[in-house]
Amino acid sequence: MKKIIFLFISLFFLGGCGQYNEINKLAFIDGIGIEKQDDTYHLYLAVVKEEKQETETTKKHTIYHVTGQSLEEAFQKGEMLHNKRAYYHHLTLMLLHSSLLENNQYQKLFPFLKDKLQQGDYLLLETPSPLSSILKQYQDPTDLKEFIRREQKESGTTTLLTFDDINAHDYDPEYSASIPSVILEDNTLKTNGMFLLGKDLTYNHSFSKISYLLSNQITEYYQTISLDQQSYFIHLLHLNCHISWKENTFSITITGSLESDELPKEKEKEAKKKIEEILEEEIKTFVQKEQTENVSTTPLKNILYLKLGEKQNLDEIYQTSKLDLKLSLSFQGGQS
Amino acid sequence: METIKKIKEAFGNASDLIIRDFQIGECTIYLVQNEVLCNSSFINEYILDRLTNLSLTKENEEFLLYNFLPDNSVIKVKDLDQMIDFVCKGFALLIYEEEKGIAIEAKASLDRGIGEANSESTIRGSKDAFNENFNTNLGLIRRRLRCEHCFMETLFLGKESRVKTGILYMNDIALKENVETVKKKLERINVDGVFDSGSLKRYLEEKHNFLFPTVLATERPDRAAQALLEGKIVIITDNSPFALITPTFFVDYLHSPDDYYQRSFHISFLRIIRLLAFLIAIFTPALYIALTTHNQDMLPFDLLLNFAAQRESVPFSALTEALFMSISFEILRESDIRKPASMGSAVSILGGLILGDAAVSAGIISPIMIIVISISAISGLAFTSQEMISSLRWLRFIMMFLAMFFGIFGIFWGAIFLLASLTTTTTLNLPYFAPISPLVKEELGDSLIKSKNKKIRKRNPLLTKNKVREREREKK
Repeated sequence: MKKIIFLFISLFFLGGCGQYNEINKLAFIDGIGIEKQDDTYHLYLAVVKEEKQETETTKKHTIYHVTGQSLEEAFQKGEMLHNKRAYYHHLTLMLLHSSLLENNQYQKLFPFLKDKLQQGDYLLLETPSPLSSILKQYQDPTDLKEFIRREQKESGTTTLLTFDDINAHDYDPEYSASIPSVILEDNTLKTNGMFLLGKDLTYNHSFSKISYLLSNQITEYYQTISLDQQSYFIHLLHLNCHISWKENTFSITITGSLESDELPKEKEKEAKKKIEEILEEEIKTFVQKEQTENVSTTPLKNILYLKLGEKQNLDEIYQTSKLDLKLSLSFQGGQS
Repeated sequence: METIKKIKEAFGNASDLIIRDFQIGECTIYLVQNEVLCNSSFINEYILDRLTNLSLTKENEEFLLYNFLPDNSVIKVKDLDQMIDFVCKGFALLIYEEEKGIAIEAKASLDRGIGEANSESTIRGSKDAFNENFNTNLGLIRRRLRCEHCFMETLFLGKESRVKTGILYMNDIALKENVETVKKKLERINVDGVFDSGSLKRYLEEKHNFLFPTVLATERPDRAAQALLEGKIVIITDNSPFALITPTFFVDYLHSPDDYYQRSFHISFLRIIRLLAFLIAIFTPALYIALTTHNQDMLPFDLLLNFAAQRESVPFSALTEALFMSISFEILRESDIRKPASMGSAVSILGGLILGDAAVSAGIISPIMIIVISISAISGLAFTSQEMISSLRWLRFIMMFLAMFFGIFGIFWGAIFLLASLTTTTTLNLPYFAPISPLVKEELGDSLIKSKNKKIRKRNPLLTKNKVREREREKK
């Protein structure tokens, strides 16, 4: 009996040690948008709440906008939203304005976010467009995620990357990550390619597609080709890219399948050749630009780094290496 | 007669004490009986009828009275205290000299007959149960163990109640030390009255055992007989329909008497279900409290939103809600047991309404809390032992408080405390958590997973030295 009494007394004394929050006193943050304008940080918080109606239950998103002279101040102001404590553990999306990522500002931003949010399982997107305009149209982060998934499948010009993915590359000190970029044009959201953190520049659609393809971050996309003045929509799928380096030559092998509902059988050979020409051209242009600007966002330089380790003339080897490209694509059910 | 005067004084001239004197031959015989404890018809038809036909003299009165009265239980009584004792036990006393007499058993049948067990229902197996009559209870056990090895030590407990208590054990199976320990514990009882076997439990259990029951009460004679064959000790008490079985281990509370009448596969499944029910009953409310107050990140997002929406209008904390529901359930359960039959199901219906839809509509509790507490409460009723059900109730409350203050960490702390408690509890100086800890291989085949009967050949070595349960069949 004395043991139970002692247990209860110690419970009361130690009661403040744990972090106690009632579930209905939490504001669940589903998405965050951060922007910097004229030395003022703008923080947009998408709070999700479930509402029960007569026959169904729906999720309702509300966007809260707070500002601060620093990011800490903005987050502090956003700590209590209508008497509810902000809860970030189920964050799914973060939208960053390009103004926050330029001039290596990300080097301060990312550690702060890691410390503040305690988790990195949310998708990261960059945009040069005003966040208020995007969030006015897309209050639900799920809509943005659906958009990205659709674009990844259709155009291959974007992909899903989490905060942890961006921070995962520790082996290359010069590695600079890329973030998928979106843009609002004429009230329509479009993919803008990818934003290269270390270089403060945005790669266009074609380059971002090739970059994702070479790093196996996309496995399918759609390509429009023109044959005999007629346009055809070709689906490239099951794409796989293998890169190796030997004797000053990068060997890139890409395998995959082709599919098209509208293409006549007799034109398959011609279509395949056209696709391969386009892809080859895109890859060569991309690799050339990479080598010229000495960008390390693709696996090419990483493969070299893994093969040779840290060497003083690594950049020179990278820039002077040749390219040996092999494409093996075939229509499903047809001959290669 | 001086003896008669002393008997009257001892009983305070009670109106139910009948004293009648008869002149038979040369002798004056006094009949002393308690009207309510004795069977008057038997006394009239068999004792008095025969008595009046005897030719008694001063020389032959003792001989004739002892040998010619038709009863199988006739005892010579030689002092006043014995006489008083026999009168209290329902014997008819024939006093022929000062402090000399014959006690003849003429007890009235004041019990309710053999019925079905109320607290331990059975699907297969016998339906008879113990009642308040000591001899009936003993007879029900002896019917199942028709051998000479079933020994009984008799005690009379309580200064005023002098209740007959029997300690049964199998002489060739049970350990003598265990029997002696039980006997010593019961002999040390020095109270005014013992009215039920339940009051003997606190004398049999170790002082430091406060969480788990270590003495099993049963209404089933088959369960008592099975326990005797395992080397355990059974205690039956007059006026009590429950027999006590000791020592009992934790795994015994996961068993039911029907376990030996069905196939091993089904029994193993049911025992695992009972173990799961044990864990669910203790941990479910605590887990809900921990996940909604401390560790919300462990819940899937959609479920989290659902819980938050349900608790939106509830002004109380999760622990308050859980306590309110648990206490309401206990009150409802208690009133259901105690209510008079004439009230019918009105209380149950009212209680269901209070704890159900009305409370949710009023915004006092959330629907999910009803589900959590209901699952926990129903799981707690999966056991046949009322003592284990009571223990689960306390454990549930302890876990809820730990979860409230420390979250999942508190639950783990509580689980470690529970495990430590199980492994350090003793029953008659034997480890309570056997055969799991310490490992007893012979008993593992009948602890949680039941092996096929032909594989269970040996008894628990902690309870007996006579380990062989089933001998090899002779090969033809």
